[in-house]
Amino acid sequence: MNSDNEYRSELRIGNPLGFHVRPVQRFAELAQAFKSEITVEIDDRQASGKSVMGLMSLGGRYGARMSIKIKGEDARQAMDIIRYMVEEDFFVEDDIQPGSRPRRHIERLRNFASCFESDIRILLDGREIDPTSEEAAESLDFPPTEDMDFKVEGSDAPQASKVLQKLLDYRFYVEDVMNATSG
Amino acid sequence: MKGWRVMDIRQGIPVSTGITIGEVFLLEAEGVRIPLHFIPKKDVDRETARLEKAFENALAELKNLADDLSAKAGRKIAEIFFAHVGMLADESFRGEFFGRISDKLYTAEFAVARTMRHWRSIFQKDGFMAPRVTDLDDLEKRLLRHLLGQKREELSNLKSEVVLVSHDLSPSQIATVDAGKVKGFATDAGGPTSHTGIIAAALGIPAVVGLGTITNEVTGGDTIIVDGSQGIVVVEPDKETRRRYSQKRKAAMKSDQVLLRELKDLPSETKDGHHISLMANIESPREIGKALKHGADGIGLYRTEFLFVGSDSIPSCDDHYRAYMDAVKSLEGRPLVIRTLDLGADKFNSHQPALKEHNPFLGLRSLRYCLKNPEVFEEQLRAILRASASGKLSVMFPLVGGVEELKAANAILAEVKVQMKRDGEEYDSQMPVGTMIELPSAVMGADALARNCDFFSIGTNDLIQYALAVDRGNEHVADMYRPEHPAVLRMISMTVDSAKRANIPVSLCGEMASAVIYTVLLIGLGITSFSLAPPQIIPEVKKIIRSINMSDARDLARAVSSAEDADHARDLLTEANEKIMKAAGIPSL
Repeated sequence: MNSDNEYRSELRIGNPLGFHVRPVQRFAELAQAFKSEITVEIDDRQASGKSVMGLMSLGGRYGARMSIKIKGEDARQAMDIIRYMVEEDFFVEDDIQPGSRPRRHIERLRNFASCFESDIRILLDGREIDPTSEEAAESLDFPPTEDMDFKVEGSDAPQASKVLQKLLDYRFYVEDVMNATSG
Repeated sequence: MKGWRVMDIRQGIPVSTGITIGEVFLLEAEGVRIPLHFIPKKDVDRETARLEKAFENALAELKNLADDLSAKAGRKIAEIFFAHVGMLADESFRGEFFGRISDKLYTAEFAVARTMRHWRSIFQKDGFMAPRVTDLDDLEKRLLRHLLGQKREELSNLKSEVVLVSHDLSPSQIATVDAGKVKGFATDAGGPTSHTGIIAAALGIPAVVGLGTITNEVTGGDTIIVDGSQGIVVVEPDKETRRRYSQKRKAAMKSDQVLLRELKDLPSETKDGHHISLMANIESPREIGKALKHGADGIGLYRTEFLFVGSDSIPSCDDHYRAYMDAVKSLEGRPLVIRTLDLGADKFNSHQPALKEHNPFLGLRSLRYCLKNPEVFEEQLRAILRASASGKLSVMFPLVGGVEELKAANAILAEVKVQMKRDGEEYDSQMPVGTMIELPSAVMGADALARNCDFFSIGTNDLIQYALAVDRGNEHVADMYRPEHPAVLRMISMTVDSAKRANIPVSLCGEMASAVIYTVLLIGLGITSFSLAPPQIIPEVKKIIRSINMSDARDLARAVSSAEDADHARDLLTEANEKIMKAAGIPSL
């Protein structure tokens, strides 16, 4: 990996509540999985992408444009993950319609996995499953079971493992809305 | 003043539905006393170790709290605490606390207080982050408690059922709440998106926020009613009010399903046969199914800016058209009123980033923005016209200030029609065009507006805000936001009069349409169509409509309109409503 990698991207904050506590927390958690230096700029204010407080102080509103600069050996992977997260509204807008996209968690896993060079396998019931396979789509129930794990081998395995662990912690960032809201 | 108390009724912002009657538990805004401010240099290590220990304990406590809440209310709700963990674990943030001990020789407590004060001021500078000051307060209290060894008021150990009243509720105060014991929330501060609302709704506890000074009006042990559906709080209710609310509560608990089943297919008309159309507000076509399920006659307000901001580029005519056609198909011939882009003020997108305006609500927003950006406007109008060939569409322009703006918008619409005709595209040449009445200037100029459009739709949220110059998200003035203010009622009445002279209909959207206490009043003032949200409220409104006579509604409107001020109007409204409802056999509003 080239340590001089630098990536820049201009993204828009698309979730109506803006870059608020939960989006910021999710952003920082994933950013912290990478070695690269990650800088976020909104309206001439700058903060480290790994600092929750720094990101909160940016005051990113709905529709604001964020410039992201990532520099370091895993900059490409970090940018891919971050871009995906921002474009998907920090995964906070998913749960509006229960059951509307039952395969959303598979899609999310595949998109996460595709950001890395490492070889990634799902470990489930003693099997090793390729996340892009049809078998993965058939084996992964929603909500996802507790006892799944990942096998990650390759140049960016540490970063990929951390990011995938977050995906597990958040149950693929897909929530059964009937659990979480009422009225 | 205890002993001789008068019933006190207050209007706030409803954030979690339901009604509760209970005893006040007043949570004081506790000021924490910091014993010492400075230390001698030799104590830096000891003070640093104390603070490290406090961080460690606070983090462990937060993680437990987050896990507990995760199990109780779901990961999403608990995420607020995972965020608190993230804040305390933030290296550079932590560094500021410890830096104040080593560089400035502050005590650990004073370092905490000063660091938090610094961040509070950063957050407060930006209206967007200001609500998050609660999170800082929460963290500050938590750290100080560990430093001072102080015991927290144990909300989780309540002995009896209470209604929690406080200035504001921090996420951890709400989270430690025992849902079996806390039956309601009422707070001075807070807005429609505050944590209090999110968590209260998740726990199914009625809540009203933004009450201004409710903490000054109650004493622990007072009886309080929290109506989380209407945003009303009653302190020390009299016997009659108490009875009314407990009946209302029982009625509400009788599931909405029953009401829906009884009423869904019955027409929405008064006993003497006046039809009042009940439509729903939507932001996306996928909400239409739910609206129809609850008996909506159609869609009275389609907020199209959500299509606009959800996209990465300016939506093309095709993008708009696809969304409108989705709506047209779902509606199966029922009417659809599309509001053109209402961007600006509090709604932005990447192509119209927040302008640097001192007062965005008086700035370049809504129709004003569209008229300055005709290329954006034309794309939308073309899509609306194209869809009008397939369904029963109307278009309406928001935030019209006067007839010159309406004429300008009409001219652009006419121009688009000419282009479409030239291109051989089909459209409904009779598609009705409406004006939203949201500004006092539009009310005053309603005669001229009425001559230049096919219908009026009164947008009460903006009309009230502009007429009374009150931002109801601002806790200092939130209690002055009064839909029943005589000025507001007069404006609605004037709008209706102008519409009558020009023989065009008037509908009303905005939250006032969905608050059932205003239903009879608004009908009496001459409104013939409501657009409501959420659609679950439709059966209740329909039930009221079906139990009144138009003449009763007019009498009520006349009586309430004679009030001198909002309090008087509210009293008259409550009294008159009650009389009508009693006669109709409906328990209460």
